[in-house]
Amino acid sequence: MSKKILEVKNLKKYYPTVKAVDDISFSIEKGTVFTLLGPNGAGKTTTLEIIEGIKKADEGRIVFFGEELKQVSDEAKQKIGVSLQSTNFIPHLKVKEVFELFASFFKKSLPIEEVIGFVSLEEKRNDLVEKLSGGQKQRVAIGCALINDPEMVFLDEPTTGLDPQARRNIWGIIEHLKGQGKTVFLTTHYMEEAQKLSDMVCIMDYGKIIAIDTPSGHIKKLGELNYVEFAADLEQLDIDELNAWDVEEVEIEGDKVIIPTKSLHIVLEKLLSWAKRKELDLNDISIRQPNLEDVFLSLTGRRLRD
Amino acid sequence: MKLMLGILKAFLKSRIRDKGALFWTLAFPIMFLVIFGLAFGGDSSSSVSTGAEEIRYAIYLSGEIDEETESNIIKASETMGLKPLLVYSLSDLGESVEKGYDGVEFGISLMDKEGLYEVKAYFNAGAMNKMQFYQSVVNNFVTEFRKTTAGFENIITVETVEREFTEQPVTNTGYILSGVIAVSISLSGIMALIISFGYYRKQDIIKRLIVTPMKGSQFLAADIINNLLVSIITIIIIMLFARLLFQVSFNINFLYFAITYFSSMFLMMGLGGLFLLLFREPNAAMNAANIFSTIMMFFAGVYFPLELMPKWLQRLGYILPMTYVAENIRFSLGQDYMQLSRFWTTNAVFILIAAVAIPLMGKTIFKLEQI
Repeated sequence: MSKKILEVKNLKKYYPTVKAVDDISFSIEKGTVFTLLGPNGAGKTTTLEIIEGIKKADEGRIVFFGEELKQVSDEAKQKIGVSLQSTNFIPHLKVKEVFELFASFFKKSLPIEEVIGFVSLEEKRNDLVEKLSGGQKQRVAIGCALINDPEMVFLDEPTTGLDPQARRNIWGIIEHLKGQGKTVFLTTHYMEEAQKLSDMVCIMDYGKIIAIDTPSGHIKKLGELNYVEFAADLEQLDIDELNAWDVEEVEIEGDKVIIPTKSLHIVLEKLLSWAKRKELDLNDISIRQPNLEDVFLSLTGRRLRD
Repeated sequence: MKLMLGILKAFLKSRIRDKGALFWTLAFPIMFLVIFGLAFGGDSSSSVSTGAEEIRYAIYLSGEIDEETESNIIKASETMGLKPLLVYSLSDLGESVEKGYDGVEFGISLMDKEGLYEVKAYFNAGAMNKMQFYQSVVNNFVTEFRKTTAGFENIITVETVEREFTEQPVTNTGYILSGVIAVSISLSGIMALIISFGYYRKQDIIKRLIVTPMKGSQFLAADIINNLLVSIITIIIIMLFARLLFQVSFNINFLYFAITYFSSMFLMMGLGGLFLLLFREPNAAMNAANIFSTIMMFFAGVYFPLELMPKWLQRLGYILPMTYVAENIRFSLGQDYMQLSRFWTTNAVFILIAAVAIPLMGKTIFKLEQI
């Protein structure tokens, strides 16, 4: 039977001009990857920092490891690992020394070399942290979060700004953690990351939770939609003509046209004959299943990257 | 303790590896020592203004000094901006000069020898750096006195009243060295917390540490110890440098020096903390601290006596904390005399300011993260 490791109830954090966190509630089960997905400014980091004990909530309850906490206790801090968005450390320290420093903060810690191996920084152990690449710094940050062998790991946008290869390296680490039975609380604005890694995805926007479900659960709610995408000369296109077919609202993204439809075969046939009749070149035609980006769009009317 | 030592170790490594900052921590004071040491280290023959305000001196009148002469002395003193303290024996005069009673800075004895007057000036060996200035004051005093008193015989014999505290001859370079140490303490102290609390906060390093079991007080303590250690090493190097380059002799009272060092460092850290609280943005706080430090360096009498500056600048000097840091350093290094009550008072004020400013800054910065 699954066990809740964290419960958040009616959490609020208001600033004079913005409701950063607006009465949100959710819970996280042990051994799962829980993701807060949302655009920049949605309130993900504020939520995370309240739970981590950095910021104080205006209202709400946090039950952590079965204990209701006003502020994260030292005992709770021994059981959690945190990686912030920023990957700065005390300057002029070597990778190994940063791990040694963080190990000194906790009652128990993993052997430094084990952590260095886990985040694949063996060859960089004696390098100064500021000389590392963005991806390597992020691995140092994750290593620091793991140094005390925590039960729960908080990772705040760990792949933001990283190249695809570095991002996949981080994904590998998170999957490894999941394999070890650790609970991971992740925030991201990358839908593919949330979809790939998460057991549960909580979609946030303007400080509110707008949906919580498994990735497949979210997608199922969109029904039998498929997406036909192609690139074309937009000046020759009449979108109203396309919207008259059996489709959801057609969307333009750059020079790409996206047609969501539940009648894939019919729409495809119509599209091809229509293009032939209009002597229109359709490039990069593809058909795809819906993803979390589409879920966010259907819930908010905006794309995550907007 | 393990936690605090861990972060202290990290701070020290970081500091030592920051070659640029380390270079300037050492090079800047040594550069000043060399420049001012070479410029003013030898016997200076520059004339000294006697326009100083309210210099207190002790005067002993012996023989048949009539009321008119006495009033002429007062008149001459007033013209000179001097405030006489009349004493009744030569031994009282010596003791007043030696101990600096009532702020007495030097002494004059005036003896009537069958209608002729003999003047002797008494200086404190601990105030050698001001000797030229006092000699000039006495010369001018005598000139003024002569204008008012017919038949005055001008005989000036400069004598030094030996004092227990200072046995070593004091040089201009010794005076400058004290100033350089005061500057070094002030600069490293004022910048210390701006760097750690200002820049580390801006870079989210403090936030990262908050989510560990580390406490704000442990971070603060480690940072203060780190700065104290680096600063004391810097001072030792400066002193060795002064010894090798200019053969400066020290007569250190280690207790007084330790008290001065700690209280001054804490004061300057506290002032840096207040700048950070005021400006919040570390670059702005750093700029303000730099401007403040530059003003202190040139107008706090660290490289030359405050009395040599115009009166309005002297007033500025008296409100600058580095003036008092330098005074205490000179006293604890045996480069100058000061009353013990003044020494304890200034140190107590330093500690008081620091005791308020440092915890206030630490708490506020950690709280700002929670907003």
